[in-house]
Amino acid sequence: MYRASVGITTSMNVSATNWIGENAESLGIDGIWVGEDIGIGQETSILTADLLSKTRDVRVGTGIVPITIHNIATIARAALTLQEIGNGRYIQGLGVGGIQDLIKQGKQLTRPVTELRKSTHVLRQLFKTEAVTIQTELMKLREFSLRINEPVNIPIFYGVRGPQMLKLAGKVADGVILSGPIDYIRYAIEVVDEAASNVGRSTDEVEKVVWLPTIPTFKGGSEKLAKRVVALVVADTPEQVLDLLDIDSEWIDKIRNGVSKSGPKGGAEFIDQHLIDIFAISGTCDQIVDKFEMIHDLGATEVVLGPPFSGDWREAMTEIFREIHLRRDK
Amino acid sequence: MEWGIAINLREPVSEIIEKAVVADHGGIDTVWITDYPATRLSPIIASEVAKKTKNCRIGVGLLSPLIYSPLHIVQIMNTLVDMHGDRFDLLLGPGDRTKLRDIGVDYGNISTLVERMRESVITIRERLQDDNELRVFMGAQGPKMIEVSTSCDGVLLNYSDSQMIQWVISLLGGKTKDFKIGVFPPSLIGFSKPCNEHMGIKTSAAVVALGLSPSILREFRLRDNLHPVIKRMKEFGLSNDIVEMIDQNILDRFSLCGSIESNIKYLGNYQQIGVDIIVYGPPQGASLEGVERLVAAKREHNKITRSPYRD
Repeated sequence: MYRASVGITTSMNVSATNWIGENAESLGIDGIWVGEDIGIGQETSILTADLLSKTRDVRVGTGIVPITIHNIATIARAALTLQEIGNGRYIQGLGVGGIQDLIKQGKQLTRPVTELRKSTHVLRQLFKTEAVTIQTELMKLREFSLRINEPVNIPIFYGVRGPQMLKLAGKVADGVILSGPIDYIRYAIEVVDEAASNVGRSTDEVEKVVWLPTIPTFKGGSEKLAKRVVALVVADTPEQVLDLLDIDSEWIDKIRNGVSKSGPKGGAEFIDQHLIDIFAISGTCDQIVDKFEMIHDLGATEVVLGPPFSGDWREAMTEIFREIHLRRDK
Repeated sequence: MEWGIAINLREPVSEIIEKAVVADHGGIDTVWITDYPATRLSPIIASEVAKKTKNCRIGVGLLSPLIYSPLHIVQIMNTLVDMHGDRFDLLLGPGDRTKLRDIGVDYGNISTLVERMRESVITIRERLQDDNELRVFMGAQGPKMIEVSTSCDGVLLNYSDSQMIQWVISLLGGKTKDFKIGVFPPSLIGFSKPCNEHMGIKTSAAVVALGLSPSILREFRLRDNLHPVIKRMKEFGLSNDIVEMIDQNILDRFSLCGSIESNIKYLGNYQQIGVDIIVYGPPQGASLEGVERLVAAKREHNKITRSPYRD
């Protein structure tokens, strides 16, 4: 059995995220993942806290908080606060941030894998009540501690894509959040599991969360919105991942340039049904749940029904989770 | 006069919320959720406090634009207002230099700090939703930052001395109706232990006194007394011995401490010189007892100020 969750982003409006938080328990949603659209919409930690306090048994995680944007001390303090509010249900999602976001923010990291590994180590030291002194490309801490007496257990999940990052996730993370075409997901899970085995970890120790844009076609979803989301996903997908796919590289460049110049809207005109099928899950309720099961068979421990949410998405979400639970009960 | 209390975030979330609820029920006008680089995150706590309280306003900060980008601060405040309504105030300022350094945040070129703060204030105010009643305050001490505060709705000063407050009002060109003058000193009201024996309030006052800018030290002739102590603190860090080196009369200029009756006198004096807001800073809000005693002080103050026999 896999965990079935919902992904939301900070750019969604309060009424939508409220509805998800208020109905998560009754719909049987196992987890909510909050994606940070940097600088847009609701503030990530406040939104995450709100979802934790609206629910009792649902796991809530950030998917992800970029270490390139926030001070590591702020990430640690937010995590500690959220862990308390959620009574241990909070998951710290961590990553370096999407390619397009980093370009937009003018951020560059010369050694992103090293930086993510060190950031993870620092957070774990802080959660263990330790004082940390460290200087790296991104961090500079001097005898910094969270001033807590008891250690806190906050799982750290990576939101990463490239092979080196996936290997790092297998070695040190408690989980990994994957996104991309099915062929890539299969590859990524293999890389993560192999890296975990190589350091003597059980493959079960690293949860594999797969978050894909989910476009239900049975409740009037917007094709335009779906194309925009897929355009952003394509533009954010690293070369190594695209090399696994049979897609014309010039076409990919057109999408990237469009997104880079005018945002997701600019890339949407180059997205066709073929690309939607590769990068997203779409179809009827049964088709979507079938695909969730197929992703689980690849090794995913959790599947996330991700935005775009359009049309009567509330009803679509209700039906999809009803179907998931019907099949679980059989 | 508007009453506020600063609640620090070192205790577990449930205790922080309990204190805020007591303050809210007790009629404290604003609960300030302080931000400090080594404890829980204030914007999250502000949101949780808003859920559990009904009447009080909620102050967030001091938030430093050096830790949080101005756009992130805007996002924080707009999210709070969207979720909980028009109940929030924001306090801005550069923050404690040493504490910022501990988390890798540097003041940078000191000669441009004031200008950068001004730019941050302008950016934040421009981008906050303009249909809400959110007030932006500047935490200030010296003349330059006080001048920047004129771009805000008011200034919060961390000294308690009337002479110093009057000096600020004169720097601002007098008191105006639309600009709020607030004081936010270390406080301990309603406890029986003599102030000069209470290490908590003495240490908080010492932190403010020893962090004064050279211009303030000169202006109020504090340099000769405090300079040797500042030098020693830089060498050995802040300790009880260092605090004890400071004359109690000087510590009294940077703190509000005493009985409920003496608090009434303080407020009467403040009202006369034009102070609009009093925020009782730490250690008052560090304990539930401190919050309860402030609530008792407010009740007593209300009785007296509403008395028909008062002249």
